[in-house]
Amino acid sequence: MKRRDFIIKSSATGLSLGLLSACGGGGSAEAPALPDINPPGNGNGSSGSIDSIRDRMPAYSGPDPFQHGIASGDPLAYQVILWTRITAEGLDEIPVIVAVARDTEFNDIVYEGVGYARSQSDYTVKIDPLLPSPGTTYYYRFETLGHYSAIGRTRTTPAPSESVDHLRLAVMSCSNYPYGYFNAYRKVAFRADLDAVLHLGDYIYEYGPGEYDDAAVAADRPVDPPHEIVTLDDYRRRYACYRQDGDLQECHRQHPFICVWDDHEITNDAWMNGAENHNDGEGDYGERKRAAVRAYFEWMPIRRVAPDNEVRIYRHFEFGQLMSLMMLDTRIIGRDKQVSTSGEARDPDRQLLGAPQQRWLFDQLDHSHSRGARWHLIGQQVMIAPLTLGTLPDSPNWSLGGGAQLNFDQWDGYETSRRALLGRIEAKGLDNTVVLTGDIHSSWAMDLSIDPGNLSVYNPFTGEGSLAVEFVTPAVTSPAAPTKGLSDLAALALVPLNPHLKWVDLFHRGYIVLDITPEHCKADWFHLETVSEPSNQETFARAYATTDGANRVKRLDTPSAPKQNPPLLAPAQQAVTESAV
Amino acid sequence: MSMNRRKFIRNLLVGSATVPVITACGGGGGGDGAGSSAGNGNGGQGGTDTGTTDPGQTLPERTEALSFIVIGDMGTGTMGQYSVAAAMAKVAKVKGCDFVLGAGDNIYEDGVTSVDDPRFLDSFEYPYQNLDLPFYMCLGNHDCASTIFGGGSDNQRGNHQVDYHYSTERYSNKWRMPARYYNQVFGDAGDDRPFLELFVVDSNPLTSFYTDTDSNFTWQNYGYPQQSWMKKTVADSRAHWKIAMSHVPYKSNGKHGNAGNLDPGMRWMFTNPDADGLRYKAFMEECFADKADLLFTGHDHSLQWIEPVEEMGPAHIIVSGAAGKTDDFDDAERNPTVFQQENALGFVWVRLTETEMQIEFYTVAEDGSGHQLAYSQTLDKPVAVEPALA
Repeated sequence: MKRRDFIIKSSATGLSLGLLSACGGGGSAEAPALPDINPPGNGNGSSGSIDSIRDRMPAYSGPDPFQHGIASGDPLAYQVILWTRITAEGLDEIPVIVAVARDTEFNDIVYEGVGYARSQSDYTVKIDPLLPSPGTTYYYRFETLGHYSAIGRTRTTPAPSESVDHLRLAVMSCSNYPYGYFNAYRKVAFRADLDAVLHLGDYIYEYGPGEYDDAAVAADRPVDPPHEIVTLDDYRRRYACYRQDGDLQECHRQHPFICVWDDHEITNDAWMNGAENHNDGEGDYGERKRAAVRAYFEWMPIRRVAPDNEVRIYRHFEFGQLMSLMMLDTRIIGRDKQVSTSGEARDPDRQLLGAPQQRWLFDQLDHSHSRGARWHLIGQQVMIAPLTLGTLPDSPNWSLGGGAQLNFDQWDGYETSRRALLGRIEAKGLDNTVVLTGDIHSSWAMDLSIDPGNLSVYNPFTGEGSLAVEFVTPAVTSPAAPTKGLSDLAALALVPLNPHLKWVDLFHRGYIVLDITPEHCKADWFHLETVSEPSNQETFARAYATTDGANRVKRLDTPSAPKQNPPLLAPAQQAVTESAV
Repeated sequence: MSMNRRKFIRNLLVGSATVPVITACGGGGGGDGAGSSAGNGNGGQGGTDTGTTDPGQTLPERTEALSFIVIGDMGTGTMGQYSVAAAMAKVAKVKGCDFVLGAGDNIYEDGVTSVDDPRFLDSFEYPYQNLDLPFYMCLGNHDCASTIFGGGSDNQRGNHQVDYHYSTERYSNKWRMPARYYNQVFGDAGDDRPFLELFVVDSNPLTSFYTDTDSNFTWQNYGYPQQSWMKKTVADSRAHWKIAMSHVPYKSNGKHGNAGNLDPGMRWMFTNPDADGLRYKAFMEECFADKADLLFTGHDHSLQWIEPVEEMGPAHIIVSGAAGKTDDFDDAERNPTVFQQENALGFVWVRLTETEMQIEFYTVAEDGSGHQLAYSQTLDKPVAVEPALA
């Protein structure tokens, strides 16, 4: 039924069924993978070149239509999503040309294609070009209505069979616009050696002014629309608001992003059929969720995974033989409602991922293992490791075990889902699983044991018995502890009570740079001096690594050296803003 | 092995099995016997020795139908077991029966301790003396236990039941357990496809109440390798009918309950964190969902025909654990059923044709005074038939 709606809707926008099956695209009006210079639905269907598209550009004399920057994402060996949005009052069905080159001068163009900015998809444009080489940095720019966009930089992943010695990823989450300046995005933008940026969700926040912001910052950075977002138009406007931020634009312009949503892309503490921050006055939750999901697919540089499942974002990436990356949705595709007691958290009928996603994840772990990948990364939202006021032995046969959990929105609230995942890693004897987590606005390094409070299962001193590790990335702007002192106090209390927890910082905003080699998977935490004002100051806070086969974290004193001779950053925006005509 | 095989065939001919079944039975001998006493599951395998055809043997005929009886939790050696056996013999004679499936707890209360343990006679050979049929057996918790509680912490003990399959000294040739977990093909559906393939799971190491200290039986060394083997074997199977047998229920309204929440009232006494069957549930679903037509288990001492559930796909789920002991239900509403019967001895008789399955439940009076048909229904084959077969 949904599928039929989808086809009707898509046909109405002029896409043929053949195109649909070829590009796996959806309502977001993506261009097909191969350059197709015939505008779909244009009966004349003649002409065969990008030039003819240029010739038939609608007349336009307004300001620069590239108001929301450009972006790339979901890199594969031969593909990467290229994204932009066109702002041109009064126009619709606007052709947008993209060129991809090996160089910043666009002398060596490897791809040219066309997409269309349509009102149905909020004038966003996504193109999924076929590119010639894996593991390669490309530069791209869009062109429409006589204007060029800035030049973007992106990178394909190494081919799955390729041997790779070194990967670098930034890991980010929780970027609340009115809570601070996006200094973290700016710092990451300048790291030229990154292969990709992972954003683990809470990319936008749904709140209205004054509900969850820093008043001093919000005065300078007011959100639009000026109320809690509920409708499709609201969600679109909120993305548009965030995407006018220069730091965020710059980060997108320099790196391909791999994103998953958390709750705030929909609304706080969302689950499959509801959310903490949703009430009947705000209408049907299903409708709100569909609106949020639709805007997400319009505005984020994400590739639709399954043509007939508009809510599915769990998907995987392969970075050569060095690493597989599985991105999960712990939020809305399968999550049962949050509970508030340990007993309920153990209900075997409750799920965090939902059966299909869990099956998929187990298959992917099998696949990653059998294809010989060294590291199995799982990018997801909420903390897997238990967080309690005193971790006790936790046999599932005693429903009191484990201690008093602090946050039932995390995997702590979905005990059987956690046991299923860790139990599978244990049963397979799978080494080198690394979980990357956001959501909690703070920095954590942890061993993942199936029963960390049980000395016969896990040795808190050596880490023996740990099955995997978890690194939690701090927020770009959202706060945790209000002061450094409180943060230190809380950390002092939490670490001894949670033997698998090796480090926590609840105060600083920042990000992780993940440094991956065949020998180690290492998280370098970088913390910002402030997000209350624009600032360039950051410090290296800590590093924890897990070495090949160790499955436990170890503290290191220095950050990893960047890659030598990284690909050039895309040149600054000012150089390319002249109009094309 | 060919020696055994011939003996096996002779044995069957004397019995009531039909010739087409024998010739198509393929795996009869159950593989190479190597490592038959190894702790590590004998690599699963049912050794489908589909090798050379004996001279003079006629070409296998296409199987029209197969009938079999399913029993579980039978090995008490008491009057109840004898009464069920007598009823099975009568039903087999009237309705036909090509083989028997034994869903575990073959020998109460704590299995056997050697291949010549007299309990093979007391709990198997003597009670089923008048049933000259192959019995395909599955290990239960009591077969792998060293106490009468059936805690299942002595998995090694189950290996003697595999050894008995290969013993030349055994009392009869009925006992079939070529490995702790195995597959077995039956009949011929044409186009080089077996009519039926049976997959037998060794569930005790996956769910035992108490932890087995023998590291050969951890999930890492045993459970997951078994799962990988089973998943691949089922996926590769070209058999027309696929049926799975395991001891511990996937779904049950009895006191042991559903996998994922097994023994909810008893677990506080258990030491094995896998005693709730969370990983076992995933095992069963990953191996059999949307592939198996029927799933037989025992463990709860009742008779239940449970309706298909979404996670397992179209498979019908049958608990037959009342061939030696009886018990009442814990929650008769836990899973929707087609039929269920508590507090009665009994067994299940099944007849499969190309397109249909006829399933009958028989209850048996403990004193041997008789048996009766409690329920019978014929349904279409649950997993859709591939058109190529027609």
